[in-house]
Amino acid sequence: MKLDLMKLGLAAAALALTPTAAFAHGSMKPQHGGLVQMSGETMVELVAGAKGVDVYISEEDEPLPASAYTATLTQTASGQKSQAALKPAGGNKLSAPGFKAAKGAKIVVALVNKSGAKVFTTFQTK
Amino acid sequence: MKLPRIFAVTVAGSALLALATPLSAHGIWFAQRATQIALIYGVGADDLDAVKRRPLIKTVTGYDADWAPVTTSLRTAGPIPVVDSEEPIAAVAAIMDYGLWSKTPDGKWHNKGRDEVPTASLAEHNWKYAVHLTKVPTSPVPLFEGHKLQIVPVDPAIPQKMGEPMKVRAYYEGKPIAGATIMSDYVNDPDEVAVKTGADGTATITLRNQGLNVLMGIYVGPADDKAKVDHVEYRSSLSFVLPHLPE
Repeated sequence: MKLDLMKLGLAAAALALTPTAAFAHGSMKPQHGGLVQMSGETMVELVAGAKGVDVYISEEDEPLPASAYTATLTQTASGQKSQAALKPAGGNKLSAPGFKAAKGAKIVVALVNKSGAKVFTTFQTK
Repeated sequence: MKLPRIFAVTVAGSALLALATPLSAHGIWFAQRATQIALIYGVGADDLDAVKRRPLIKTVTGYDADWAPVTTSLRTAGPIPVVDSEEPIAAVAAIMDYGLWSKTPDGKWHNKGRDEVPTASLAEHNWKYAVHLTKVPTSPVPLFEGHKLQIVPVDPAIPQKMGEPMKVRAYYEGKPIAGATIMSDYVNDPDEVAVKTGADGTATITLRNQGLNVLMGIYVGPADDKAKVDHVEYRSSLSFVLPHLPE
């Protein structure tokens, strides 16, 4: 019984510590085989490949127009920071061609909309 | 018939109370507005004009999860100032010098010291501070530069359920201070009977909201200029959000 209570407590603690954003509306299933994070109500999918990094943005399962945002990518790997602009690449896609995502790096995507509102999304690469 | 009369009396009473709210009762805190972190000036549900008071904000500082500084500023977005940082922040803090205020016997407040308002029945200097945690700290919350009064969680692992107790410590000029007032819900219960810190500077409050919690510490210290004020009032908020259940 004690063990059950402990399990329950751990489960509750895990739930409580999970970022609220993860429960916002919209699927968290990657649509492009990348890493997915929710920031506020914006779902951001990061796809790192040999040719660079692509980011896809959507809200409540609806794609957001990439052209409505200015965006940057900041990578921290082995204590070194590198940054690149993410350019609209059609539809809800933003791209940083040639940007190499390192393994085990922290990558922060900063999105700024036309009104100046900024949201950050943080990824940990595998 | 009775209900409207009671209602009228209540409304009139509330209006009087609102009018009677002293200037020093207002504080600053941070809260989310349209996905951004906004700086709020007010008391209770009174979310007053913080944009026009921006010149009184002396510093806005942001920190990452390791408490390393992150370049942070305020940006005016329509009627509200919002936090703008170059990187994600785990905490943001602000200092507002609300200046000298003197109250004359006719009940009016004047934005001057006693030296300029010799008939004042009360003269004070108001400082307001705010610290907002965007995530549960993984190490003790440090004392931030310039925050003469700061409310700090004793245990950085802030309880995540409303109704649970939370112990905080009030620091004045970097040292635990006894007798500081700690309000547990400045937004939703600005008239609460608040607790006072003990000899070790700590007080235990009950977390009231499964959402935004704005704790407010208040301490009245000695005058920084006896010719101009009787005392200095420091008002320092500590705010954070307890997460809701999955949708």
